[in-house]
Amino acid sequence: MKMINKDRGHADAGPNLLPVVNITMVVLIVFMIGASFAGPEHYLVSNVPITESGVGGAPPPADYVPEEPFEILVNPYGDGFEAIAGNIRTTDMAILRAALHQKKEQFQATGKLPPLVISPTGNVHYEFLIGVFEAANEAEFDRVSFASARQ
Amino acid sequence: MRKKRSMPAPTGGVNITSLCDIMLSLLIFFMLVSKRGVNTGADKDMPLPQTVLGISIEDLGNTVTLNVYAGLADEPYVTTLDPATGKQVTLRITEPGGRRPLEEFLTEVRKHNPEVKLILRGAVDLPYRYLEPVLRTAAAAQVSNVNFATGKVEGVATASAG
Repeated sequence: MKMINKDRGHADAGPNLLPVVNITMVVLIVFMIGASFAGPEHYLVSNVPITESGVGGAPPPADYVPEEPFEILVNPYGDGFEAIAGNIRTTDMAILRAALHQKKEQFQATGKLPPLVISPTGNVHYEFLIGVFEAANEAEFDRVSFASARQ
Repeated sequence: MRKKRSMPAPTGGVNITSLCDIMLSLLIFFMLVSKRGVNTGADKDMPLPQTVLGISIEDLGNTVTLNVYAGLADEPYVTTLDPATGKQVTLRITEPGGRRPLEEFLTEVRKHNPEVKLILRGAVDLPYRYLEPVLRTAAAAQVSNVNFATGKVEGVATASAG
């Protein structure tokens, strides 16, 4: 007697998962690539973004000696900028970087690293301010801020 | 007659159930950590200054992004994403009646989240006179953590912050 095998076909019963696997894998790869490459931008951080040049508020204690900041004046110069800080006077960002490194070492030798204040005029472009800010960060000045716009 | 139990028919492939499990877990993980589709209100068309240094901010939920543009009469106009409505809003530094919408907005944000980080975005040619009032307003609202958004110079690694 010929038996009909009713069990045949049970082993591969159920939906075919291969398309799901293919699509999931593609989506997974997309997200993995997206996660490995961070966005096209990053951030320069300041915890003291602006420094007041005026006076006000509660009077300081009698023994308080105000810290003299190291000030960089930034002026527009042609299509670029000019930075003036003590004996540094340059229109080149690379020279400014090197000079700030040197200045920081001089300050460190005295054991006192003052706050650095970037003091631009109102017409200086953001691009150059960020360049000076980056140069100060690169020289490892730990307190970098902007002053009110000079006239 | 005793019925013979037949062997299951060969499927001709490997069992992909565990592969599916692992892949779906990975997919869910990467979907959660991915920043795709997160709208911070940043103006993506703004040409940012390029820098080598910089950190990346992982926790964008803890930030407020301000796009600063040159406005009329030396006053900037600032756009941001209103967290309540999810829509882009324009905020002025001062209004004719004396109101200070940007300061009010930042004060409100800081009240709900004292650790809020401010992301400032300005175009390369934005004069400082438009940026300064925004920095002053942030200081008045006691938001001290200010991050200047810059473009990455290609091929340079970036530090990471929480």
